[in-house]
Amino acid sequence: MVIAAQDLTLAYGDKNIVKKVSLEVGPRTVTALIGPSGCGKSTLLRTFNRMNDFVPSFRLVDGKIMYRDLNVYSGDVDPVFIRRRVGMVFQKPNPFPSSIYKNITWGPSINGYTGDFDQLVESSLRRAALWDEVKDKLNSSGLALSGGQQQRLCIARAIAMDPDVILMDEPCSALDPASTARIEDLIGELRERYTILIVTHNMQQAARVSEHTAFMFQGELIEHAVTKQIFNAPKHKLTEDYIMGRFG
Amino acid sequence: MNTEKPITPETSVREAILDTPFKDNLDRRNFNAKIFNLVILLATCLAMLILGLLLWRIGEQGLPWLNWNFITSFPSRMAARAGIFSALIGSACIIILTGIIAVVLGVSAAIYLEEMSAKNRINQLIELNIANLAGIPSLVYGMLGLAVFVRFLNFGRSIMAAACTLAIMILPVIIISSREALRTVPPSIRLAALALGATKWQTTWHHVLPAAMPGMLTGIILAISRALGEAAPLILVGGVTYIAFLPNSVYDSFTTLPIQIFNWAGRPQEEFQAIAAAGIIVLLGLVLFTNGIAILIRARLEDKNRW
Repeated sequence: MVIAAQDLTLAYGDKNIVKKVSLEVGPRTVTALIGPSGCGKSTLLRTFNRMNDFVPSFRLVDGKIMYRDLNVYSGDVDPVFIRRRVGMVFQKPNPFPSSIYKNITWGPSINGYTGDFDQLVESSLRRAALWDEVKDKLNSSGLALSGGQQQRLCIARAIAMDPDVILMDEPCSALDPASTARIEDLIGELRERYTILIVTHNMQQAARVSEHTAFMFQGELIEHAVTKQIFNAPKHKLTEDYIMGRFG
Repeated sequence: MNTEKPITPETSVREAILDTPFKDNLDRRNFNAKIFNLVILLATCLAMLILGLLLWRIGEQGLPWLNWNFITSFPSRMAARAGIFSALIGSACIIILTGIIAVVLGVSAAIYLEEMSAKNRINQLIELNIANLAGIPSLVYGMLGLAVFVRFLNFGRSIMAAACTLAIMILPVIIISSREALRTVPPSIRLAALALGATKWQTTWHHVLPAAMPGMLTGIILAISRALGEAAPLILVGGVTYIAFLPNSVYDSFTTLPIQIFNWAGRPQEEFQAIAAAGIIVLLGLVLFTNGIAILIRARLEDKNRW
C-alpha cells in the first residue's frame, strides 16, 4: 500500500461529500477515479495531499488517510512534507508565469535539491515527453506554450520533485484529442516509476490508462477493482449503468 | 530524481527521503515561516496600537465635550457654546457633490482608457501622467481650484468650487483603481458577451462594469475618505471658519469639519483644543458612516456576481 483512505467521510460545511470510503492503492500503478459530476472524486483526490486545507468549509469528519506509514491528517505530520512527496497536476494547466527552466527548478530549489539543475531540467522534461519541443527555448515563458505543452510542463514540474505519488485531477479535460493522447502515453510511461491516481470524466481514458478503477457515486465508493473487470464484468448495477452511459 | 534504491512499503517515508539529493530542511523552513508569521503579526499589532493610542487620546480629550448640543450648534467665540453643525453640513454637502463628480468622471475615464481606446503611445503617456497627478500635494490642487473654479469659472468661494477642487484631487486615484478593477475582469466574460452579438458598449455596461464594481468601490472609498479629511486645499479655495447659517445653494460659502478642527486646534485656549478633539470624533464618525455605506454596497454587489 502506498496511499489509502480508511473509512473516510469528508464534508464541505454540513454536507457530506465523501461517505465512508475505503480505498487502497499499491505502488507503481495507475488508478482511475470515475463517477458522475459531484460524486466526490475530486474532493477525495485532493485529500490525499491535503490540498483541501485551502477550502475554508472543508472538514474531515471521520476516518483517515494513510500515506505509507504516515497518517496524513494527524497533527504531527507536516502537510508541506506530504505535498512534497505526493505531487499534483491540476485540471487547467497552471505553469508559473516565468521561464520553462524556472518552472521546473523552483520546487526542487526551495526543497534543497543538491544535484545538478541543468540535468534535472533535462531529465524531467524528457520524462514528460516535452524535451524535444522546448530544449531550444528553456528561457522563454511557460505561458507561451500551447495548452497541451503547458500541461506536460506541469507534469515535468511535478516529477522534478521526484515524488512518490502523483495525483491528477482531470488533467486532459482542457486539452484537444492529440494532446490528450500524448498525456495518456505519458501516464503509461510514468507508471513504471510513480503511483498515479487520476480523476477522469472520460471512461475510455480510464479504460486506456489505468490498471485499477474506482467508481464513485453520490459520495460512496461503489466498486473498486481491476480496470478490465470494471469495464467487462462490473459487479454492481450502478457501475454497469454508468459505464454503459445510461446516466452521468 | 536519482534515487536508486526504491522505497518499499516497509521503509518509513522519512527514512526513505534521506537517500535522495533533496536536503529539504523542513525544520528550518518551518521555523522561517513562523518567524515571518510573527513579523507580520507584530506589524499588524504595532499599527493597531498606534491607531488605538491616537483614538484613546482623542476620545479622552474630546468625549466630555461631545453632546447633541455640540453637533447642532453653530461655531461660537465661546468654546462652551461652540458647535460643529455648519461644518458637518458643509462637509456632508461637499462630499456628496465631490463623490458624484469624481465617480462619474473617474469611472468614465477609466472605462474609456481600459475598454475603448486603442492601446497606443498616447494612451501610455496619459496613463503615466495620471499616475503622476496622484502624487501631487493637495495644496497644489487648492491653488488650481482657486484659479480655475473660484476665479475663472466664477463659482466664488463656494461649496461648488470646493467640491470641484476635491473631485479633481481624487480623480487620479479613482481612475487608477478603476482601471485596475476593470483589468481583473476575466477576458472570457467580454468574449462571451461579444459572441452573443453585443456591442462593445453593451458588453461593458451589462457585464464588465458590474463585475468590476466591487473592486472600483474599494478605490472610491479610499479616495472619498481622503477628500473628507482634507483641509489644506479648501483653505486656499476659501473655506471660512465662522459660518452661522446653513447653505441654501451650492454657490454659498462653506466650512468643513477639517477646516473647523484646524482652526480650533490652533487656538491657545485649552477648551478649544478639547472641542477640536470632539470635532475629530465627529469627522471620524462621518468617515465611518460613508465607508460603511460603500462597504455595504460592495458586499451586496459581490454577493450578486461571483464566478
